[in-house]
Amino acid sequence: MRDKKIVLIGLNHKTAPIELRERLATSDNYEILRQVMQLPPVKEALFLSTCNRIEITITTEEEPEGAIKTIKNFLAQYNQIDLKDFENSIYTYLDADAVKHLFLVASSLDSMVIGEPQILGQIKEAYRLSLKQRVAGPILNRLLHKAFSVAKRVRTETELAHHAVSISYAAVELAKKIFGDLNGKHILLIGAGEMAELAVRHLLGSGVKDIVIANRTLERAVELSKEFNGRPISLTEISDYLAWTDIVVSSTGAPHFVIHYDHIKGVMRQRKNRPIFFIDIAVPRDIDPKLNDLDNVYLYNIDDLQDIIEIHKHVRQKEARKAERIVEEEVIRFKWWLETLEAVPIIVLLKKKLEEIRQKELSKTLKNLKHLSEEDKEAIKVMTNAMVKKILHDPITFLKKGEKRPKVDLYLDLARKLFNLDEISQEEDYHK
Amino acid sequence: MGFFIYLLRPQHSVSRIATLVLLCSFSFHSIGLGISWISLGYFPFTTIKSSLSFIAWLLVIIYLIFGWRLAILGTFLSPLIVGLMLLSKVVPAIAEPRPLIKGFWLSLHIGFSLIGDAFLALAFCAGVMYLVQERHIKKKRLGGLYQRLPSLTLLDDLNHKALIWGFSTLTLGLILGALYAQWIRGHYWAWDPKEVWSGITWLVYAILIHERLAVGWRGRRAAIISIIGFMFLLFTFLGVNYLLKSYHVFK
Repeated sequence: MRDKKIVLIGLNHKTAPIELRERLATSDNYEILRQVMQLPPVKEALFLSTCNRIEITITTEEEPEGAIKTIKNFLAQYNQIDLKDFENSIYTYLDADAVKHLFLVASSLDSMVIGEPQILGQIKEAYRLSLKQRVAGPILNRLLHKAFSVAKRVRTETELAHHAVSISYAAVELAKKIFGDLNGKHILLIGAGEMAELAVRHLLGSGVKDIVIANRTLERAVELSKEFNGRPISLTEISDYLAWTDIVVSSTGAPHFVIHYDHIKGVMRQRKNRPIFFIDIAVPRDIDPKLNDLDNVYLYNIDDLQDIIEIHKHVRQKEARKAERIVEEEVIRFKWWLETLEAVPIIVLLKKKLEEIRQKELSKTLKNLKHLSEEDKEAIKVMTNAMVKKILHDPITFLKKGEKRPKVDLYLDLARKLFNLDEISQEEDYHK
Repeated sequence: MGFFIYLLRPQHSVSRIATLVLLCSFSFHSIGLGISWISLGYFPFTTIKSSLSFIAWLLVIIYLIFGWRLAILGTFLSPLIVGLMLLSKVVPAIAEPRPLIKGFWLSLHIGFSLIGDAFLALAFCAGVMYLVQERHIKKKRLGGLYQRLPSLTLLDDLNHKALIWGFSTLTLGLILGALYAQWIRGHYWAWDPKEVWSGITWLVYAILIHERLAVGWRGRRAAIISIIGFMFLLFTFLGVNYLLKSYHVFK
């Protein structure tokens, strides 16, 4: 049979600016997934779209180069962008690399702020969509379930998961050291993003009541306002609210400063010097670092916050290595599983399983039939062997013929499930 | 008397022992003040020694009031208290005060002025604490006292309140002094160096309070001015007595 390839195509915060990410992220994930499935090389598909990444994972039986090209062209055509405009931002991974990448993403090791918990939920949502559209086959099913368990392992076995939470916790502690009581304080959230939302959620949990949300697209602002029970405004209105707010959390994708020194200097006069705390989560920065020189203005960016939290850098690096190791380990296991997806290993496993059953039952029975002569015993052995062979004959011929059928892996997967072969292959994993 | 025990008090400790030591020494100090009051027949703040000791005693009261909620205040107040007590022992002794100084109205003038001084010393401490904490936050180095110092808003508030109380009582003290001078000497204001420096100090604080209330000065700038104001206050209190000739000199 033809090998099935896993192909992952995408771009993220490291490779593409927000403008591009926004243009490629459609609001209708359902429709884009439906259209991806119409593309000839695609067998299974997953479409993941968050603030920081857009990724399509497919399986194909054709040459991966061709499939990659098709997907790229599709993205260009669907979003009406010239392929040249974003081709350089795109990364592609094949098979084990694709598996590894997906595992890294799911465990939040590829996130802007390592350990932020939202990404796992977003992948689960994407997978749910694939299930709904029946475009997740045996490989994707297995891949996603594995990704979830890898994420869980990383979360429980390393301290990275606390990382993002402790960053927002540190921000809240700082706010308390500036303002004392946070009750009755106001927040202005500019932009969006997992980390910003996490920080805002923590601040809201500490007594802050009033939140105003500014976004480039009012639609998104309205969406977030519903979530946080706040008020949506447009980016141009920020100036009006700077004199009023106490804490500003900024996380836009703008390539330039959104908040300038001279502006805030004027605002402070208006505020009668009431203190204001800026938290800049954006990369590149949204807020002019010079702001910190102004009296009663306190500015912390994401690096400052990372530096002050208790998990120090070297501990973090150590934990990151541990997490990588967990991911690598799981990738290797997944590779073994992938290999056994082909007909031959399945047949081997099947034969092995039946042979084991035969031997076990044979020895059990013969133990109780001590009066039999050696010849009789031999005859029984020959008979059981023939039975197993006869039973296996039809399924094996069927599986072998399958190489010409397009949905062969469905039957292979079925065979695995019918005879519970996963158990054997996993046991073997440990012996390898 | 309580001075040695004040000195023993570990400045960085917020433990019960420290508070206990403080309470003990405070009692001794109070008893000491009471004994001299009875034996002298007037309240003992008529010499520079006793007035320094009196301010230290007032600061302990202030600490005991605020310290319940703000233990870290002790770290900043106790060096000041110990310093004042030390000064009161070290400064050259001066003979019996003039009989003039024993009068009731004059006692009020001195009493209010000294209470004002104590509050302004508290404002000074709050200002220093504010600057330390602000530096921690601005420099993004959150070690040292960062954890134990309270929020900037609270320190600024303390500075503000101490300033208002201190300024009011000091003003009252100065007015009483002027009225008394008019009554005894026939003029409110004699351009005596102590008067002039008191006036300057008063003006510094007046400007600070005005800016705070009208313009909304706060935080760092207010803290710095309250520290500068306190320097003027110290000079008025000590410098004038030893460097300049004045009829206010305790003699």
